[in-house]
Amino acid sequence: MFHFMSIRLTRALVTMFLVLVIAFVTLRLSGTPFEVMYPEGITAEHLEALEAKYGLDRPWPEQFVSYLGNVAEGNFGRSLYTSEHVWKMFANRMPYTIIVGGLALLLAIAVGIPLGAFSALYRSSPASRAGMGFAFLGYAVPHFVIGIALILFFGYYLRVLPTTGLETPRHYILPVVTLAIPIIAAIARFMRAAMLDAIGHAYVNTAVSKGLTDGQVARGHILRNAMIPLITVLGLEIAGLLNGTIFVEAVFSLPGVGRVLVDAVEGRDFPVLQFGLIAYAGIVVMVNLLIDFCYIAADPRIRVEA
Amino acid sequence: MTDTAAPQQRTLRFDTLTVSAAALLFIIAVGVFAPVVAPHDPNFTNLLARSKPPVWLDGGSWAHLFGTDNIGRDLLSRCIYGIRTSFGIATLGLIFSAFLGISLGLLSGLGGAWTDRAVMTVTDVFLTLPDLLLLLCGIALLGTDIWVLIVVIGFIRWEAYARLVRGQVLSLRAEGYVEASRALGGGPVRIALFHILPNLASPLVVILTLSFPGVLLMEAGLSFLGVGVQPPTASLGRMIGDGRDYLINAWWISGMPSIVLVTITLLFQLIGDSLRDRIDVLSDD
Amino acid sequence: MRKLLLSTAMLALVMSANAGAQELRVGLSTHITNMDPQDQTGNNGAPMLYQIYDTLIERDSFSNPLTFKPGLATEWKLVEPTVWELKLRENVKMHDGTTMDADDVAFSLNRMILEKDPEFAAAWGRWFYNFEKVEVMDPLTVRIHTLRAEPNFETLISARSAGITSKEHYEKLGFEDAALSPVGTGPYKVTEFVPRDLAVMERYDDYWGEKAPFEKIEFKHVEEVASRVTGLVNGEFDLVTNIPPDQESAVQADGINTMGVTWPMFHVWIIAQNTPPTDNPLVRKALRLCTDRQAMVDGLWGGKAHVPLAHQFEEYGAPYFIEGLKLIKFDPEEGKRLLAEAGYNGEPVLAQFPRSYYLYGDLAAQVIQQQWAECGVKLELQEVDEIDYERMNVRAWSNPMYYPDPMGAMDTHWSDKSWVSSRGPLWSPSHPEWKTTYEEARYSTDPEVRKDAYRKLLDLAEIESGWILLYEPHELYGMRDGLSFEIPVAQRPYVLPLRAGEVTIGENY
Repeated sequence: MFHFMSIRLTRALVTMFLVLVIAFVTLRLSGTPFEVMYPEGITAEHLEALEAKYGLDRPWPEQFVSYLGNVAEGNFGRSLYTSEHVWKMFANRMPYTIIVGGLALLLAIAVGIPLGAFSALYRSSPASRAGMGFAFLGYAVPHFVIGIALILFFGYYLRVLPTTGLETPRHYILPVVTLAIPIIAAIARFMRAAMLDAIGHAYVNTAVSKGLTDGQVARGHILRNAMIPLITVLGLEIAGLLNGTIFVEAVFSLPGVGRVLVDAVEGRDFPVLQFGLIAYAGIVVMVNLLIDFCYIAADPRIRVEA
Repeated sequence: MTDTAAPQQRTLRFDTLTVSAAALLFIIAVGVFAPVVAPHDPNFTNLLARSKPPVWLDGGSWAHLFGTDNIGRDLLSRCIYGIRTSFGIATLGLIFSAFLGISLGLLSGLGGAWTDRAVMTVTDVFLTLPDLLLLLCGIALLGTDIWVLIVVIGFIRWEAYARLVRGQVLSLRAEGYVEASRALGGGPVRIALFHILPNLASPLVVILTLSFPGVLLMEAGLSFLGVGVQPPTASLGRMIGDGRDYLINAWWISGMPSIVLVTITLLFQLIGDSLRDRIDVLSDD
Repeated sequence: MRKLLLSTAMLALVMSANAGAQELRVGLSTHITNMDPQDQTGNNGAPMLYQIYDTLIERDSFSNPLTFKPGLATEWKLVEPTVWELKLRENVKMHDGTTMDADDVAFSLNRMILEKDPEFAAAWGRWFYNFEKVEVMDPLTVRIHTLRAEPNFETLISARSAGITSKEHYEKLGFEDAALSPVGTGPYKVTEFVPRDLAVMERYDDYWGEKAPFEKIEFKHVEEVASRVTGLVNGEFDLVTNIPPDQESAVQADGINTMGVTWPMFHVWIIAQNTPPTDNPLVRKALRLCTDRQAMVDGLWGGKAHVPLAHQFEEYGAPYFIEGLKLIKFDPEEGKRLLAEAGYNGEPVLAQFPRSYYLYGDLAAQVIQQQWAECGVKLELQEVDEIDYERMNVRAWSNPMYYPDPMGAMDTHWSDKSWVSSRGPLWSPSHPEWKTTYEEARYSTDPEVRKDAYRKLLDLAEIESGWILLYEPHELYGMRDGLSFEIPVAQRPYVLPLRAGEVTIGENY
C-alpha cells in the first residue's frame, strides 16, 4: 500500500513538473503580452523597455531557470497587467471556485445517482424516460447557454434569484445548478448503464431468487459493484468541472479564478497562467490521489496488485 | 447481426439505432450538400431584415424558415453551413486524435518499459490539465484558424484511445499472441495491423461516437470566448455564442442553432449508447 | 441637443433631502487593471477615475464651449510664453491623510513628463508631449513649463490623466501596490479594489469641495449584456452601462429608464500606407467612397448612431465646430472609377481585428465586406491576437474626442507623436502642406487661425488620409427611476458625472 501510494506520488510530482514545462514553453513561444496589453498599439522603444522590465528579452532557457529559481523560493511574481501578487490573486479567488465547483459536484451526485438508478429500475415508466431525456439534454447544451437561460428565466422574468456575484447563499443557487446540470447528466447516464449491466448479471438473479427486495438488491449488490467505475467517472468529471467554472464565472460575474485564467491566456499574462496551471493541475493531481485512496478502500485487491 | 437473446428488447434497440442513424445521415447529407440545399447565401447580410423571427411566429415569413440573425442573415442557411463547418472540424479533429492516440497506445504497448512509462506520463499530464486551458494555450501559440482548431482538438482528445489500445496490447501480450507472432517473424507493424487493431474496431467506434458531441460543444465554448471559427464563417458554436446577447428579444438567433446542435448531440448519444449495448451483448455472447 | 436623448420616463427631478444615505451600484461592461491616474488612459477607467482624482484646473462638466473653474489650483497665470504659474489650494487632505502640496503635483506629473517611463508613454504621447517639467516654487506654488507655447494648456491640465496623487503613498508602497490602492483628493475614496472585477468607493468626508451625493458607490464588472440587463431589471444594480441600442426593448421594464448617448467618438478603420494595394492613395480614397455609412447606421445601430460628415464633433464648441460641413461622401461609382484609375485588379485587402474589441465591430466588418464587394474590392477578414503590421491593410480603432477641441480627436490619434505615426509608414502624411497646416492648427495662439487651419486639414485628409471614419457609436445607460444625469460633454466619453451637483437623485430613488 505504501509502495503503491509512493509510486503515485512520484508520478504526481513528475506530472506537475511537466505541466510547468509545457506551460512555460507554449506561452513563451506564443509571443509577448504587450500587443494584447496595449490594443491601441505601442512604439518599438516602449516595447523594448517593457520587455527589459519583465526580463522577456533574455533567452528563454535562461528565463526558465530563473523562473524555477523563483518558484523554489516561493516567489511566483506579479500579474503583468494588474501587478497583483499572483499567489494573492489565487488565494483570494480560489475559495469561490472551489466552493461553487464542490457544491455542484455534491448536487450532481445527490441527484445523478438516484436519477440513474431509478431510470434503470423502472425503465419503462414515463417519469424515468423524462428523467433520462433531461440527462441527454443536459449533456448536449453548452454551459453558457444553460447559464444565460437560467439568468433570464429566474432573474429577468421571475425576478426571484440574484444573478451576479456571490454575496449571499442565494447567489450560489444559479451558478451551482448551471454547473451541476451536465454532471448530473453524466452521472445519471453512467449509473443507468452500470445498473442495467449489473441487472443482467448472474449474481443479481441469484439475489433475487433468494427473495431479496428490489431495493435491497439495488443497494447491496448493484450499487457496490458500480462504485469503482463511478469513482473513475467522477474523477474525469472534475477536470470537466474546471472547464465549466470558466464559463459559469463569466456568465454570472463570479469572483473566481476561471475568468482570471482565460484573461491570462488571452493576455499572455505569464506569471498568472503559470501559477494557475500549477494550481489547477495540483487540484486534479490531488483529486486523483484521493481517488486512488478510494479505490483501495473500495477494492482491497488493488493493494495486492501494487 | 442475428438476434439470439431477448428478441423484444433487441428489436427496440435496432429501431432506435436505425432511426437515429438515418436521421443523422440526413443531417450530414444536408451539411455536405449545403451549397445545393441552403436557400440563401449564408453570409449575405440584409440590414432591412434584421432579427426576423422563424416562420411559425408572428412576423415570420417563408422566405426565412428559421428567421434571420441580427444583421439579417438567413438562419436556416447559416445552420446548414454551420453543420458543415462544425461537423468538419469535429470529424477531422477526432480522426486526428484517434490516429495520435492509437499510435501512442501502440508505441506504449509494444515498445519497452521506458517508452511505456514515458508515454503514460505524458498521458497523465494531458489528463491533468483542463481541456479548455490546453485549447486556449494551443490557440495562443498557433493562432485562430480552422486547421489549428482541428489539430488542437486532436491533441486534447487522444488519451482515451491511447489507454484503450495500450490495454488491448497488454492483454494480448498476456495471452501470448504477441510473442507467438514475433516468434513467427512478425514485426511490430504487422502485429499492430493484424492482431491488435481488428480487435479494437468496435470499442473505437463507440468512443468516437460518444466523444463527438463533446467536441461540438467545445467548439461552441471556444466561440463564446471569442476564439474559434473566424467570422463570417458559420459554425453552430459561433452562432450560439454570437446570438447570446439577443436571447431576450430575439431568442432564435442562438436558439435555432442550439436546437440543431442539441439534435445532433442527441442522435450521437443514442447511436453511441445503442452501439455500446450491442457490442456488450455480442461480447457477452 | 442631439447627443442627449433623455428617455421618456423622467420622473420628478427633485433633489432628495436625505441624499446622505444613498448608495449606487453600477454594472460596468469593462473594468480596469489598476487605478493610477497617469497609467490608465483608456475608456474603461473613465467612469471610476473621475470620482477619485482632482486636477489642478477643473472643467465645468456640462459647458459647451468649454469653461474652467479652480480645482486643486486656485489661480493660474501665464508668466512667460511657455511658463504657467499655479497657486495651489491650501489644506487639501488626500485620501491617505497627508496634505496635498507642490511635491505631490510635481511627483504626479513629472513621472509622466520627464522620465518617459513605459507605464506613462500613452498619456505622454496623447496629451503631454509638449510639457517640459513641473517646477516646485514653494509648497503651494508650481510652475509648469511647456516646450512651445501651449494654446490648450488649461484643457490638457484638466484632463483626468493629469490627476494628482500622493507622493508619500507611492514612496511608501512602490508603484505596483500604490496603483492598486489609489489615493487622490476627490469626493470619493476607494475602500476596496479587485482589479478587473470590483471597485467600492465611499464618500470622502474630508473633501475640500462640496460633499459627494452618494454615500457609497460600487462598480462591478459584468461582462455579458444579458447579465447586465437582468441585473438592472432584477434590482441588483441601479445603473448599467454599454447597452447596445438593439437591446433597448429588453430594458423596457417598470421602474427602469434608459438614456441614449451618441459619444463624440469615431469608430474608424486605419488603412495602412505601407502595404499594397492600399499604398496607393487613390485606392484609399476609393475605399472611403465605397463605404455606405448610412446603411450601417440604419442597419446595425437602428438609426441611432451618427454618420460622420467630417472629422469634427459638435462638442468642440465655438469657434471650432463648423456647422454644415459635409466632406465625407458615399459614391461607389466614383470609387470604382478611382480603383480603375489606380489599376486595382481585385487584389485582396486584408483586415485584421483584435477579437470583439468594439461593439458591432465584427458585424460592421461583414457589412463593409459586402459593400466593398460591390465596388469589386475583395476584403478578407481575420480575427487575430496580434496584428501583423507587415501584411495587414486595415485594422479597426476608435478615435474619441479626449478633450473638447479639434486637437482632442486629431492630435491624440494622428499627430507625429501618436501611435499610428510611430508605426512608421502606417500613416505619414505626404501632402506638402500638411505639416505646416498642422502646426498652425496645433500651436497657434489665435483661435481663428487654428480654426481655419483645421478646416484646411480636413480637406487634405479627404485627399490622402489613412483612415475611414465609420460612425459615431450610440449606446444606452439603463438606470433605476429617480436617478438622472446629463452627459458631461466637457469631459472625455464614458465619464459618469457623480460629483456634487452633477446627478439628480429623486425622492423615489
